[in-house]
Amino acid sequence: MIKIDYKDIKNMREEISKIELTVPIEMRSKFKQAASIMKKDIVDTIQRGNSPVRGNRRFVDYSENYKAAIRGEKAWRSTPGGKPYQVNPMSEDYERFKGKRLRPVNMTLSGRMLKSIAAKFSMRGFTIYFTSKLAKIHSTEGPGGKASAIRKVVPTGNEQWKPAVIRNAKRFLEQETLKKVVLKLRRL
Amino acid sequence: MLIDLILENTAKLKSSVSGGKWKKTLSPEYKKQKKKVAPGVPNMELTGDMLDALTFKPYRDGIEVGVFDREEALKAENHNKFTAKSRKTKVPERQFIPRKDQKFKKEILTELKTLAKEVVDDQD
Repeated sequence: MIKIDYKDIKNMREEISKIELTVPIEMRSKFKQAASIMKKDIVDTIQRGNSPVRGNRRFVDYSENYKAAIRGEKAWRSTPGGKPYQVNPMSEDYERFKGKRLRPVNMTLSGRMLKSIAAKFSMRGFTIYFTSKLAKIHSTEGPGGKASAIRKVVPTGNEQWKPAVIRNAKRFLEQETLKKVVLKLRRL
Repeated sequence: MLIDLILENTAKLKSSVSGGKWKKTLSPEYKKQKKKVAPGVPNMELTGDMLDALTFKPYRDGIEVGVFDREEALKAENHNKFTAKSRKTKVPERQFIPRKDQKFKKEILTELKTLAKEVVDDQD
């Protein structure tokens, strides 16, 4: 059992983007399967270099500095606090980029952020969110606060998931219930 | 949605065009070059510029989907074989946009119809 204190829940809730599904009560047990389908579709979409958030297309290209680091060339990087430092090609820092490719822009370095996708269930629907704070950083302020590098991996505010990432989960629930599933976005 | 579905099929190495061709292999030289920056599969993404340029333009009776950037449009034309000139090039045929005599795949059209219906139902 994992203990989560109030602070964690508060932080988590900030990242949550909620999809509320109005489905018949007898079908609520199917939420878990529908959530798994949706989580997979979201991660697949991101790994193909596309944003799963409505109104957003492909992720913007990596910066020249980041590309240089991937290629194993000298590059400037910055700490999460924004302090610049030069990466030595011989340093351990480059180990992180081993096997990383320039394309697609798949938001995967260690893979921890995408693995942190989770679902939370209620009587009325389910919520898909990322427990990793990076998801919110990439979606709102960009890495290192660079607005030009914002890559929407999770909807925030009034944004919604793309129909393309909802459709399979929705279809699954509709097939199971033989009733139309209504999707609603509720702002937290 | 249409662009998302085209990009999804492209990533899955599938044509989005009904009866469209998709050459499944890369030439050994190109594969070697491509593997340095991207997966060595024909997913139409080396620099990503062409797929980034895939977009739509609304017009009175609908939308037009295509690659409108001049430089990227040439790449798209050669892969989709829109013109007689492009059919003569050695660029392998991988169709992601239908020619005038073609249509998108049935599953894509069905998804679009479902979405359009939902939008109309929502407004009612």
